[in-house]
Amino acid sequence: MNGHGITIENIKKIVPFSQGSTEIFLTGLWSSRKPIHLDKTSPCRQACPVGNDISRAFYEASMGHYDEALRIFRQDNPLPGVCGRVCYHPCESQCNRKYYDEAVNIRGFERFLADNGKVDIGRERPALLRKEKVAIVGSGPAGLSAAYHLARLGFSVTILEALPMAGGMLRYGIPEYRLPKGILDKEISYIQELGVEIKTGVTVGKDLSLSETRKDYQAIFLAIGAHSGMQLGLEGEDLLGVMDGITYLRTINLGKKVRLGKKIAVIGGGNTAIDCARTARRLGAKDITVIYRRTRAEMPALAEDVDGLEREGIKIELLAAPKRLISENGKISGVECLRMKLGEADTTGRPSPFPVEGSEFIVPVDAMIAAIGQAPEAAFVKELGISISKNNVIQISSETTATSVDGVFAGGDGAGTKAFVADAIASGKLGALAVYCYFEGKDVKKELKNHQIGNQQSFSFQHFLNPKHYPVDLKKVVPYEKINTLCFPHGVRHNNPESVPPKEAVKTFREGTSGIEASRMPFEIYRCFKCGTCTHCDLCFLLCPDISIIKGTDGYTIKTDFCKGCGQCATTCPRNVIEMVEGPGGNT
Amino acid sequence: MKTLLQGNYAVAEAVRLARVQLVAAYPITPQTPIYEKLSDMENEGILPGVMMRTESEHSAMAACIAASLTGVRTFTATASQGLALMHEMLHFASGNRVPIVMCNVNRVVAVPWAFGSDQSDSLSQRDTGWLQFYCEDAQEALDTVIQAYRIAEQALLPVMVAIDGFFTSHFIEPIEIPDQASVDAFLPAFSIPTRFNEADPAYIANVVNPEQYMGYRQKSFEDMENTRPLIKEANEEYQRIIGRGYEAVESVNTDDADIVLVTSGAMTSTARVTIQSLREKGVKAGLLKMKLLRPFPTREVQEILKNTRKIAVLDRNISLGKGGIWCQELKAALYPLENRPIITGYIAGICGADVSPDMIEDMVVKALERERSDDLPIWVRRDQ
Amino acid sequence: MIEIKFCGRGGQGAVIASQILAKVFFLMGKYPQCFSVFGGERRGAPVASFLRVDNKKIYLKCEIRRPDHLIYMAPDLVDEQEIESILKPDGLILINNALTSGEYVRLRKFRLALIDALSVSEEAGLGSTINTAILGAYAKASGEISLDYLEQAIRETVPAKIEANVTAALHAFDVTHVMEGVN
Repeated sequence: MNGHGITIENIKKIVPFSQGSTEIFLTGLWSSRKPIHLDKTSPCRQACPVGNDISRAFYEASMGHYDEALRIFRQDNPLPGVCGRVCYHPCESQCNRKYYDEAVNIRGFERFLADNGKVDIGRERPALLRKEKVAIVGSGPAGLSAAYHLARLGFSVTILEALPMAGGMLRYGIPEYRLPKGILDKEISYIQELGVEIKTGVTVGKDLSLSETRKDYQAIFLAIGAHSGMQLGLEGEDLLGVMDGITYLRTINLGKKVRLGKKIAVIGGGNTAIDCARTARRLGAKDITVIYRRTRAEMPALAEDVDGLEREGIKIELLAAPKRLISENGKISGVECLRMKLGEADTTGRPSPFPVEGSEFIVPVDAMIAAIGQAPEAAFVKELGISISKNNVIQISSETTATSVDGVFAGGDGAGTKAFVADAIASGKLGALAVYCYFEGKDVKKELKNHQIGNQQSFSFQHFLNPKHYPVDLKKVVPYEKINTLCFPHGVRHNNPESVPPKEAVKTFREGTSGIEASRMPFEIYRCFKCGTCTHCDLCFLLCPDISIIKGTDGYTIKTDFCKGCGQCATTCPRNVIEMVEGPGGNT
Repeated sequence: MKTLLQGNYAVAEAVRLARVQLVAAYPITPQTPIYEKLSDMENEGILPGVMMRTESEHSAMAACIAASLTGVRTFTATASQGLALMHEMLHFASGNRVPIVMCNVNRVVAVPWAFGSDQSDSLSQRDTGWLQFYCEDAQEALDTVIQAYRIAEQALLPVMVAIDGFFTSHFIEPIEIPDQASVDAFLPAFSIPTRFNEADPAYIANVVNPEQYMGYRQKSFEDMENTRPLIKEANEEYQRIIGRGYEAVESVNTDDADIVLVTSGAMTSTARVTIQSLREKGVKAGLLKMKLLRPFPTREVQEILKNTRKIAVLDRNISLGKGGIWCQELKAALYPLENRPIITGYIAGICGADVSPDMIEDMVVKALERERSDDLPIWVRRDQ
Repeated sequence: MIEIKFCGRGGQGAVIASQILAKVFFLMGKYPQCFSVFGGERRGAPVASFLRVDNKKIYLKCEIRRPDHLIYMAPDLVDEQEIESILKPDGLILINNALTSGEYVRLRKFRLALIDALSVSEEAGLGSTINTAILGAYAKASGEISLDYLEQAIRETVPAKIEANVTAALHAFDVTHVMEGVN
């Protein structure tokens, strides 16, 4: 005998089985809910003022695509190397992983990509060049960001910078040990490669009037920063040995020498104060005291920088404020301080300090640096009739960056946005959108809403450029409860290691931390949940009991014709890409 | 080749000779030696297929179903609780029309916990859509497993071969093992079309509407009916090539019998001795051995027993609330006869309890005295 | 047909002894049927193994209640009253026991064989494994099997110490004490 003589057609008559289709059994019709597979927004992205698509960058990096991961960061942020070092990382504060073990080292990741990834400017160039010319006054983070995004939109962009080199506060306000100039130079050079012209040594309002500029360019974005240090308002601030923080840092960063002596008091608790103290330490001051009127918890400076400061032997005098400057021979010799107590919260949410009577004490000093805030030098804008506040802050609509004058926009510190680098970059990015809308006759508010990330002011530039090819729900932010933590092993966070021991650190301006080692980076990348970003893990595809999830070359589609709405896919999805919605099934 | 073997090993030899490609099983007393022997064979490289050691009988049957759908000849063996656990998948096997062959070594079902032979485990699976054969001894078990593959694959229905725990599975007796060439001549290589195929994916166990469901069930019923000639033909062909055969229903001295004793499984052998001695004592007794439960050999039974006045049925099983299962099946089959016989049902040998020739003789003699059928069975226990 | 019952304790090898004996009969061209009582298998527990042998196929699938031959590998299991009630009148009893006289008074009506199987086994280097010695004694006591087939069956069955087992069987044959039954 040879064979059983049974064919597949014989079998089909007697057995219920289907090849190709089960179309006559539309079991999905039974269902009253169905799954939707759509990428969502991670809480870190919502927290990022710039709106970096962090989880997607982690996903690309998890496959070893570091260059692509960097490109994703650069969709929204032209300065990942800068942010990867100095950002106050609100992303990490909102990282879902912090509820599981520790937040992912997102900033360290961004730095790693910026330091190790390759940038392909060719891919960032606009498809079409526009005829409109835009001038940007100031080359700090806001100006660079606006220039970069406008150049990507095809505009002809010129930056006018008063100082000898581009970078603004990034160059003149942040010390080398926190942000090496080489990193900044590299990222500025990419912006120039995109076609942005940077004219340095040109002070608008002095070398060139604003009205002249307005004639040469169809739009202006003012990103003038806040380079004027605020005064304590005490007698004797003109004494020898008294300086404001931002002037001190700028002078040092311009390569000039400042001799202040051995004993120095620094007034303030922000990054500038910390930077001043640590810079002075590196320049030889032995006895430095930072005087701050609230407690450590209220210090606006990054905690890790305050830690570094303490490790370097710098004292912090908390709950103290200067009352009087003491002089000897026209030179400062001491700061008389008052003890402070904390009271009710003020408008910023921080408790207000108030002095304790009779608590005066004296800190003897050779010099004092006041780093209590900066103000813009914005008087020149009045020439065009642009309104400024009494603190010299350019008045804008925070949603549109528009000034009171048509075609002139403003952002960054000079326009009173939050004083962090990331906020300045975000402000420049919004400015670019506003300029674009100005020329296109579009409503910025509407555009912002369309591409807005979560409930924040940030928006996705990629979504703005090409929403159809970027399917992601920007409004839905993945909460921790929606993460299937069963899919993730616990793991220790990889911090950026110190590159110089504190004893050595006080003698050098070399960068104080190093990047995460390439061999360790994949572990930190693996720790990221990739909230809301499909990683093609196949769990839904493998576990669907109705084979209703179809795997294609670019992801999954759901055939609701056969889906009975069990929700296994949504429950199992490690990162909340799939969710169930109410409504009749069937009808893929 | 004739060799001394326990029945379990004889079954393993049949699996080897049938060139089974996948064995998926889980060990359970008294089936374990089948599992062990097949493992040994795999280890020695003489098992043509592979052993899959599943974590349960339910999974074992699921694995056999899936493998069979990929066009592979499969085997499993179990007993008692293992078969009970497999129950759901037995329906899947017959519904999917996969020609799996399974050996069930009859053992009591808990509770209480015990190990002896009892057909209740496999008889409980009567309506799962499997063909069921009950073997008298190890030689018949070996031969029936090989025959079962031919029948299963022609009919696209699964076949269960039941053997008595210990009496058949563990008794060591001389067994004739056929040579491979003869078995190959009898049993063609497996060539059922592949239904599970990566290149052309398929979906089984579809949802259907009531009309469609009934259509499939009726077709399965008809195909089960159509196995009758296949069973007959397989046995004749086996007899021709290998030289042994077994009727679905075997009658011994029934033509002139005043009473016919109906048995199944290993007790049949002891009954043969009793019938012989009764004849020598002048009692005209006959024997009817039931090998096939599904499809039930109604016509054959009617033909053999149409003139018999008295029947005793010996059941090593019990259906609570009714009686011995073979007895009920037989009564239903004989109902259409014009002269319905007087039938006495005996429950004996439950849990492998000893049933000796003198006990059987007593049952036959007493049944011969009875003048009317009784619906309730008579329990035969040595300690009473 | 001869029906033989082996009584021993778990670990003594009663089951293997019955299987080797089945093999001997099979080699002799007879039809053996060998089985054991299952249940509480453990070392030291009483174990019974059974063997039927005939010149033609055996159909019985039931217990052996009236054996022709009774083999006690564990002498402490001997219950003379029970043996009297089950052993067939011309039956044989083989007991693993060194005693040769004055014992087993009630069993003297049967053919009685005694073998000090433990001594034989220890002498052969088998320790307390006495099954092959018992089979040598059975060959002598029963006269049913030839030593050639016994030796062949041992060689084909025993997994280790084959020569020692053959020696034990042959030696046991020589030293088994057989007493004919007296009425």
